[in-house]
Amino acid sequence: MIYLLRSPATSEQVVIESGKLQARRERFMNLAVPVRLGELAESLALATMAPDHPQYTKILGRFLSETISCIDWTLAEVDPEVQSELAELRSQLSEWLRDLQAIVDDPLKRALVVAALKDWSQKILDRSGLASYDDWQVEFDYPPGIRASAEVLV
Amino acid sequence: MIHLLETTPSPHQLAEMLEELEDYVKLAVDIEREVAAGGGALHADCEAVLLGDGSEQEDIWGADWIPAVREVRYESFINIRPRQNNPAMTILDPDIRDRVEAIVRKLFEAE
Repeated sequence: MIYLLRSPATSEQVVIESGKLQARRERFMNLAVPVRLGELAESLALATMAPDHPQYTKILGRFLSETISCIDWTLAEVDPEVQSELAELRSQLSEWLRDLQAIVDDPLKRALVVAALKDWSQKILDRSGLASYDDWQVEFDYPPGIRASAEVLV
Repeated sequence: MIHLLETTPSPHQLAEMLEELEDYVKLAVDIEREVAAGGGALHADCEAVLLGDGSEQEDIWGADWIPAVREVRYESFINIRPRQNNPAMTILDPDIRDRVEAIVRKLFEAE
């Protein structure tokens, strides 16, 4: 979550957000690496959503910052080639985050960023390899633990 | 919080579903049973709720509902189903997409 702060963040806001981020990190780290890359690709695709939303600046900013967190949680566990691409993507997302308001205010800049986000989304999805499996959900036990639970019930 | 939706969520349930992401709700939609699970941070968690409720995986598709602009989105990597001829994150089959949209709008537009 990104707060528009006109006054210092309350301690409650800080605690809630750090708690949410920690919980999300734990869920994310339980996923197989290809599935994490799938989550990343999804997050990049969703970053192009709702340009007419009254809170669009906040939404885009949150997607960019959350995707950066997901990259940080994944970077150490991918092969060097993907690592290099993720590092490049992270750098690009950070730059967009810094220029967020200028991007939102300028239709041309915004269109370029949206196009780049779509390209990155497809690139990361390709890197995940998920589409090459007939049934990647079985291959990577996704959603986590569902099949194990079903076996116990049987 | 994730809710299993067979009927329109109450304002309180909707607020709970929006707790995590604020501006939109992640959804897993069962197009055969015409139910959905929504909320939380990952489509996986919604999908797990439906599977636990008896849904078949091939009937479940990922979507998002953005209340402020009343928009349904179809990008989710749970939609990657090569053996169901859907190798992309978005739902390629217009019939399936229409069914997902109809279920989502029926559930949320009466709110």
